[in-house]
Amino acid sequence: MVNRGMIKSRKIGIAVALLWGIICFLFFQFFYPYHLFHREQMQLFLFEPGYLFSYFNKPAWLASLLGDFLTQFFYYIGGGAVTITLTLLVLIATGFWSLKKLFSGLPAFTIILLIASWEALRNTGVVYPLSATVALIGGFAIAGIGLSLKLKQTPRVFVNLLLLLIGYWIFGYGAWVALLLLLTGEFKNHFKIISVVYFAVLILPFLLRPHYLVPLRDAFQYPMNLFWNTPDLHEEEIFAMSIESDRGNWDEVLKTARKYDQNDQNATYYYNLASSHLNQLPENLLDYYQPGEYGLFLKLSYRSSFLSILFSNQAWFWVGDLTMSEHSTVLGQIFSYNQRSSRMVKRMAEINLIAGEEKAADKYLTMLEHTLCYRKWAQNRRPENQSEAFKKWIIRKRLNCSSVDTLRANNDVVASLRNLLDHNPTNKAARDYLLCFQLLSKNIDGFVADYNAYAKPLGTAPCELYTQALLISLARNNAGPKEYLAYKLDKSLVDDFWKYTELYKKRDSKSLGEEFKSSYWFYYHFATIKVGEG
Amino acid sequence: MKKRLMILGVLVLLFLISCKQSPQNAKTVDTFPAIYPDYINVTIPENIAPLNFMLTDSAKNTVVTIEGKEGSLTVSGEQKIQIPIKKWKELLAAGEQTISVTVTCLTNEEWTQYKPFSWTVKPDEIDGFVSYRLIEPGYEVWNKIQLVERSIETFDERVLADNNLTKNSCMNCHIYGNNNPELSFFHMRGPNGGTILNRDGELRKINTRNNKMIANATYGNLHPSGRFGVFSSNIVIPEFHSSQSKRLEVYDSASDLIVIDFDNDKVNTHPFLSDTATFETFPVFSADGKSIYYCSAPYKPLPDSIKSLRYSIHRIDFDPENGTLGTEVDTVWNSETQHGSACHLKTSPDGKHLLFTVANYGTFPIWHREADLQMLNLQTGEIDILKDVNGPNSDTYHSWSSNSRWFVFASKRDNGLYGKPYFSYVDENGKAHKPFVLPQKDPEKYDFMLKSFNIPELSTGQVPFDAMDIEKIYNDTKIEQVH
Repeated sequence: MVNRGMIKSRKIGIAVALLWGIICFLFFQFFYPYHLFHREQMQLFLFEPGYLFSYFNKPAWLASLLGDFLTQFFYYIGGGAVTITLTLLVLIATGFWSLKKLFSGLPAFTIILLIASWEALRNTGVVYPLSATVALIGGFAIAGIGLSLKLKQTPRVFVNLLLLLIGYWIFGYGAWVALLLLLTGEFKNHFKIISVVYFAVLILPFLLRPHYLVPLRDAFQYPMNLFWNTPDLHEEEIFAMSIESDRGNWDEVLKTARKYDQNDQNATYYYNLASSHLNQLPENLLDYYQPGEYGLFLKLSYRSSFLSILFSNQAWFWVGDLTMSEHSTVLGQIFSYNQRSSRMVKRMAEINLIAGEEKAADKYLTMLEHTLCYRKWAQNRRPENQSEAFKKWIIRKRLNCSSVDTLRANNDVVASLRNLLDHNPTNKAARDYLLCFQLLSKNIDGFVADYNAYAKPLGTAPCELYTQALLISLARNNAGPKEYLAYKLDKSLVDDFWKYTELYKKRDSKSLGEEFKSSYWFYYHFATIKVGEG
Repeated sequence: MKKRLMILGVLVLLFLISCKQSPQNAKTVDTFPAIYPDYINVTIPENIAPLNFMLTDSAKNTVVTIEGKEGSLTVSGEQKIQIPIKKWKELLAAGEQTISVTVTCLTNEEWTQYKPFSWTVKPDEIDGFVSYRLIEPGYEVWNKIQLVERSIETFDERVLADNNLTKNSCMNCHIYGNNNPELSFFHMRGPNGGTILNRDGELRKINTRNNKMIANATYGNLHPSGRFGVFSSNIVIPEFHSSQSKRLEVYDSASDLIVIDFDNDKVNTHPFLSDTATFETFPVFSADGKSIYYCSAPYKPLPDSIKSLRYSIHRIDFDPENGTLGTEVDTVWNSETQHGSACHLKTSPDGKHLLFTVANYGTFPIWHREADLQMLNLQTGEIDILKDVNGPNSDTYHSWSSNSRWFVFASKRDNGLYGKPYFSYVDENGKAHKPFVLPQKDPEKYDFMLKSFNIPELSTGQVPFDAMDIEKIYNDTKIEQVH
């Protein structure tokens, strides 16, 4: 009867754990996949002895090694959710196994389910390493082994101490879980003073800190870096845009941006980048939240967020400014977790391939060839393996790279874009970015100068946005009919402009908002430019 | 049963033989093997760590025979050749000699023996330690930085400072006075930062900027006595080239020279070294401590005139008794007649040579591909353009060994992006020889690093502090103020 009851409880426990696992999988797979993909992109796991041995230079080498190894699988569609779910199920199994030695089934199961849920929430953190979860599993495993020892108290205490010392060395902060459980075990077995030797393990972070060179707090909590986190679905949308852009799915980026319509500089950045890739930048520009010019190029400063730094290379890469793109990419690399990002290394390889810097490209390709996920990607980009399509892509990108050398400050976007257009006046992406940049910063004179220099000579009629801006300039300068005609302006837009002007003079803001909300005139008069620091 | 065991034994033997193939009937070719690092026909000191290398062509098996004056050793591997350090030291103990290295490779089931190359061993030892800053080639931005001290005789590394322990503050490079490990400094920025001065093992944290200076003390050098330091104070502006290959230009919108008396925390200067009509930078003391060499250029509106901004090398007297500067300035190297711009001056400890970098223009040559080292003979005025030393990319940030027979410099020759420490021998005739990169235990190490070796500096011993001392001084030591 007892056995049957136990079997039944076990079955219920397994069923609950599996149900928990299914919920966990569904959440990460359908609500949080891009976060996981992003986490993989922020590391570069190399199958190379020197790299693997470097794990010994930090605490928790085994947890870190396993965690980073497993994080690679986040790269594959579904891989992240499966990996996290399985890891957390292992945590439940290991935790239950060790807690069961201290508590009866239901409390042990409840405790570990709560811990796993807490751990699942922490795994929604963008910089939370999977190695912290592995460290926790390791801690429970050490405790389980210690609590299973059938030894007399004194030898048991010393064997357990040894386990704790090894536990800290290989699982870092997981050792504190083991310490807690072993002490609980001692209390349950009539605590004797000799058990205080367990606390000797607390000396280890102090002793090993000069070797690991980490601040004291890190020495105690490595590899864990946060205690609590909740899912950030807003950030997930940003990652969705970022990652789909990296995959070249620009329609998807635009769709996501429009679907969520966030007042967020990074979202606008991707909206504009996708519009430009789809050849619709001026057409789409004012249909979306625009934080001044900072939605076109993310400003880099010491106050910039890591995500802005990480994303910033893409616009520069797209318009063809390899110096600025490389600069942003290196910054992304520098500020990524452990200063190794697969995404940034890929971009560095591409930049140097386009620039014809073969040896530099070779360095990055060699690194990528030593990874699980990017080996093929790198091999296909070796000069001897490049496809015709890839060769054509390189030629197209090279056409936009400037051969006219000038110096410009980090955030001097206008000088950079003008330089690109001086080199290649047919660079439409650079032209639209320049003209839109001038318009978003409300620099009408700058816009007209650049329009006259880089767009007017093409002889085509301006699009609606540019027409609206040109009309402001023409009206301001009391231009004559000849000047109007010279720009081949759409007559209906000219009529709209006078209608707008009448409403504006009447201060009829309601009608202006209703009829002209998406016009440049409305933006020019009413938009307040925010200084974006991302 | 016995028969079966015998068959098994034969099979195991055959398996072992097939695993350990040795060169047989090797085809000889008249070319050197393709190896990295390029250690072909280089001159090395007798106290260098093993010159481990790897074949860059795919080889299934490689056998290397290294024959010295009093012995030889054979090392094998797939592509990597890692020489046992004990046997290497025994081989080099024979003193001055020419070592012959023969590489035989198994590729496409065929053994090929390449033309042997040589390692010329010189008994002039190089200083035993080199320190450098490990930093991403990220232009002006940092996140994690380490100052590292590496033994040249072994592969041991020691971290001298790690900004992970000092709230991510920026750290400039570690500079020795006269290759003396008991005399060195580096600047540490950030709220608790300062110039860390190591004199006889005593660490001090000093704010080397007083209210008359235009900026912090930047590039500098210590007097052989340890009492004085000479620094430039620079307002540094980084700007970007639109041409990707040139990347970054760093120039000074203003720069002056100062001398700091560390015994009295006092700053000395001279009106003509702190005016706005000229830029002054990269000062160093002469070997005897009685002169200061520095770079100087007339003021130009920048960045518009950057390509005509050229620095000459000047010398001025220095009185080591009271720390005062002379009044007459000698031009040692004239940028107008030499058609270049000089920077990063280093005098050899024997006082015979001045090693410096020459670029086409400007004051920050690390992204200038044309930036090369040149050596001025201070006795004859002769300039050596160091043809055998310079590579296709930037070669700069150099430092002499205390016997003046070796120098180390940071070179981007391998890929244009990441600087690595290269060493060159200067013989008794003043001729510099083909350089070699700092050997690593794993010759592939450089391929998987994402950090540059920044400003390598040689020292005769280990410095008397480590990263934990620097953490302590950063957090706990009160800063001294110069006036």
